Amino acid sequence: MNDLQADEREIHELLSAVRPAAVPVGFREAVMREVRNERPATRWEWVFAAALALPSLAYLAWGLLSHGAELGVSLNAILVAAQGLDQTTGADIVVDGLSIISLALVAVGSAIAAHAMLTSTEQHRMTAR
Amino acid sequence: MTDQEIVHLCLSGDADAFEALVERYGGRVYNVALRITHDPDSARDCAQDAFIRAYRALHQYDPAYPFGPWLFRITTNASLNFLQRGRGREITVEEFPDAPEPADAGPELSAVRKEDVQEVLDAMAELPPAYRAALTLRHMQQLSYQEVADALGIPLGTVKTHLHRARAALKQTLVARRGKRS
Repeated sequence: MNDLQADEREIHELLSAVRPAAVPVGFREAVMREVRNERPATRWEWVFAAALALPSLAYLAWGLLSHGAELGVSLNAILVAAQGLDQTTGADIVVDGLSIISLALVAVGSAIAAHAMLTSTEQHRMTAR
Repeated sequence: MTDQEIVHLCLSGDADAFEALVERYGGRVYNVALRITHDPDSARDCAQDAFIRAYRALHQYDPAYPFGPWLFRITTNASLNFLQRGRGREITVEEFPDAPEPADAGPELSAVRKEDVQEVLDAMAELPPAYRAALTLRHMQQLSYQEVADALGIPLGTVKTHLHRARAALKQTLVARRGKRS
């Protein structure tokens, strides 16, 4: 130690003379067992995000294919009403509950995927140093 | 292989590479935890916890700095947290009375040197955990003042104050114990 000062020399000699205790038997194995059980968090995040988002996206795509024309008409009516071009037509849009749940699940899945991507990028950055 | 190269391997997905770090630092980590907790079972749990936390946080480790002090910081935190949650009520630094500086502790301490190691460790156990941690890192693990400050997460000046008071208290406790025995 380069920065050892005169007033601490006595205690330093006393404490540095204390012999280190032996590591308990099986310590390293116990640690490594835990470490091997650890999986990169991002892998599970990707799986979870995909499980949430993919069925929802499939449902939304199916809804768009089967009711796309109605949705187009509704959106057009909303645009017309918003511009005040026609005061007589009603502008409404009907969305079923499953579509709303699907949208919410896609949003949650995207958030999880974004977190996994940021973590992976950070790990890659640290690895690349 | 350097610590940084091993960390690099771990971050690349080779979990088994971490074993080399456990092998290299296991003894020191266990002894830091042991001196802070003063209990072998608690120390084993804290040391194990410290390695697991370190493994999870490897991506936060900056390879520009040495690995040891980073790991000791995690170990110290794990051990101090364990004592905070813990069983017996530990005296804090604020509650601990300032020991007067012995006018000339030299000969007394020389005599104490001949005491058995357990006496020194028992005297250390009477100090607040923060003092034990500072003494352990500085004098048993041979860290610099700055490394101790980093490991404890407190300013350099506070470390110097803690260590000064801890040494005075330890000297006084050892001398008092010696007086009681004789």
